[in-house]
Amino acid sequence: MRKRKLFTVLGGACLILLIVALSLTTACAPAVSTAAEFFKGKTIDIIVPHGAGATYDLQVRAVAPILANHLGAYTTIKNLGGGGGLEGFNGIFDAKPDGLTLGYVQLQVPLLNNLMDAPGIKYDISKYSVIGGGTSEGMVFVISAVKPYKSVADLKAAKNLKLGAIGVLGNYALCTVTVPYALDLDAKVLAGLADKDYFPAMIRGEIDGGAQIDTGALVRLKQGAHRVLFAFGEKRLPSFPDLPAITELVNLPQEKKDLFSMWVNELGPGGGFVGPPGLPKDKIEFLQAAWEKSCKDPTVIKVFEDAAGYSKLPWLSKKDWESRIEKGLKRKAEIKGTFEKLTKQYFLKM
Amino acid sequence: MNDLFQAMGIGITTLFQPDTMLYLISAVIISLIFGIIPGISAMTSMPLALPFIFRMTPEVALPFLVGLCSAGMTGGAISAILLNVPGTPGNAATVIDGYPMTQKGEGNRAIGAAVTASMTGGVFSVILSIAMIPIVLPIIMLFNMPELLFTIILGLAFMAVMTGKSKIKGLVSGGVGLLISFIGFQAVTGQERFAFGTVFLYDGLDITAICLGLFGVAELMEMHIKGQTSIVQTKLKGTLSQTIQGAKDVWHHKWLWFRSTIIGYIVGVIPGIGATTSCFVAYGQAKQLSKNPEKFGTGCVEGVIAPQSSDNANNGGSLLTTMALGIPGDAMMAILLGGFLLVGVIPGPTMLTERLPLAYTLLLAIVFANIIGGVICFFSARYMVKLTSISLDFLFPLLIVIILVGAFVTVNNIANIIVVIITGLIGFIGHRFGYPRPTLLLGFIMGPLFEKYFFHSLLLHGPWFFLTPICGIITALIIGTFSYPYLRKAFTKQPARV
Repeated sequence: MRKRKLFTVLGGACLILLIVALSLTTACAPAVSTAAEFFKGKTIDIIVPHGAGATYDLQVRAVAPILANHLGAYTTIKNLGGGGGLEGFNGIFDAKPDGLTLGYVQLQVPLLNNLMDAPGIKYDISKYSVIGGGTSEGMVFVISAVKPYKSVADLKAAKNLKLGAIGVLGNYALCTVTVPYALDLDAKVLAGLADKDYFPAMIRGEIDGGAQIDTGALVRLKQGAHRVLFAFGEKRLPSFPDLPAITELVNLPQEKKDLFSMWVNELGPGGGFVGPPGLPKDKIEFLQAAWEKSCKDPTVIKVFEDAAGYSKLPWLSKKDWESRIEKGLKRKAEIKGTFEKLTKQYFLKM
Repeated sequence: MNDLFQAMGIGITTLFQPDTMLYLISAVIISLIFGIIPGISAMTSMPLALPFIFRMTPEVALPFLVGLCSAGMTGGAISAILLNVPGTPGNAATVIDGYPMTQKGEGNRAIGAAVTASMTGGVFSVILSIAMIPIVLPIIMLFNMPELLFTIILGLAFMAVMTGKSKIKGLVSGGVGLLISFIGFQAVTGQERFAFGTVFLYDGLDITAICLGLFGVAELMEMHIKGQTSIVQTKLKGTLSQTIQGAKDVWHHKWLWFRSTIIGYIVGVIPGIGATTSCFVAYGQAKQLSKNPEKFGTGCVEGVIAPQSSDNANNGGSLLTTMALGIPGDAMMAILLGGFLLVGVIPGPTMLTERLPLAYTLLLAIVFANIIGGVICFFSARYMVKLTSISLDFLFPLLIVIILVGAFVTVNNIANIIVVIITGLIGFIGHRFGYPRPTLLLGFIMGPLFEKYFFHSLLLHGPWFFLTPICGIITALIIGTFSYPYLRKAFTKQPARV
């Protein structure tokens, strides 16, 4: 009995000593003085608000190991594509601003969600800590390869066109609905198609056409799914140097020209490496330097170019990102009003 | 023709390169392990593999990815049969008869039948794919939204076949499945339904969580309440002869195997329907056309052969569509498509012309993945059945942890665990009162597909969308399948009474 009591007391004393020792160690630990020292050996979660295998997911999976080397840290990818990416956008926004949770997002989608006040939004895109940009993309309009329309004039002459769009209030749907309005087409838009329904419907000719991001359209063009008719905006795209911009083909009133240009400027697609609001400046700068070095790595460039389908991709800078967000948010009421009107007018309804 | 054989020869030679084969075998082993563990499947392993393939050549990288997605369903059958927990959603139909076979002491035989059906179904689907290379595009062109809708109706019709003893309870269960499938955003209108402003519910409930809850958690609760000490009360003698008996069963039911493989393959070729649908359709037609339909659900080997052959046959079809058109039939193929782009290969018609040797390498990779996976499972079946004799005191907590971790990993959200628990309760209570779980799952899977294709058909083609030849053929198929038992009865000569 005495022995048992002795062991109990000794055990308790050891435990107390251990707790005190651990506390002292933590208290006396030297303060981390630089961002580099902070990130050394840590694990950074990179949230991707898209499913595994999506273009932005592939891009960040290419960059992540090289970024990890430059940071002296480890990186893991977390796909949070639920709710059309809302889970991911909210997750990045709500994360602790210590630099250990970051995100790689497609600019157009969270910006549009903010502009259209999509349900479930907890984030404010203007408050993300922008670290760096990804590749910049453009929007093009495509026609099903089995349809006879080869020009804007053919589209204008056609009756009862059925255009298709992935999602309901996302970039594809809103971009597609711009076309019948701006070109005065006799057309309706079937929104809400899933990826795996949209492309087969295009191949079969069940839908006549739709708007797509240029890199995806280039891959599908090589597959023979569609023809590309024009680029949105006033300039030609590096991905389609021979493809005329819509303003080269049609004389549009300024208001409609602006609408097309908006899809290149304020609402132009492109990747971005971001952190939650309140990320300290020194960490942003450290991460920015590492991101820029990583994006210049030949392996990364090759992966981006292979995924895009062409070389010498244009890149967004941090400034470009911030400028697009600022311009887009300034025009929020106008953009929201315009698209609410267009979706009412052009979406196919029961 | 000479070019075709030449391309096939190059494809075979490429596959048998040491590095390609090594990666393929590794992929199969990983895929089997991920498939056996409930909730963790190729959907987890494939994204993890993507960073490793950047520097590989397409001839090594793509067979590796194909291997990862080919053997998982075979592995998933093991947990479905032995533990009543489907390893992948596609194995949910295997549970219906596979687990009762284990409870009857025929677990080994069930595994033998499942593995053989999977392996041969996967291999045959590749033969079909090779034969169909010239005609896959015209077939896909025939299936517009109305035809897809009627294919889903065919799947829904089989709900009536799976109702069990009480048709009303079966249909109520199916109705509950349809109801919970409406949670989330409506695909066409964007209207939020039953999500209560929760982002997690915007995409609806996760099918993996539903399967794990309905079958896994519910069954564990059942065993615990009954006071069972292990999954089977008597120690199962695992012998190779029993496994071989299962393989022989596939030969004895070769026409069933053939029909189910064709169903799985066609559903795989047509993007938008999914392997899980094909498994239930295969199961339904097996029951409907069987001479002993009353035995289904009590441990009938036909109920294992049909869904398993269909599940693996799906792979060959969906790979062909992914390669030939760049259209992924499901989420796994979408990741594979990403892999194609990462190694600089653009899927599409050029895959079947300029890159035909690579296309053959990938199709043959499915063959070898199925064979390697099948052989491994076949010879280890007699050791795996010993799991069923382990005391539930050890197995119960282990399975619960695996199920809950699997649910979390699928969507990276802890709320999915709550879904598993709630669905487990629903499954347990439903089973207690005679409401069948397979019909609930079928309603859950088919509901969103039916609604989506119905809306799209109506909006694109108008109210007479169903007046197409293929819709007519599918309607005739439904009527034929359901009237077959009555016709057989009517035309079978009754023995003369003395």
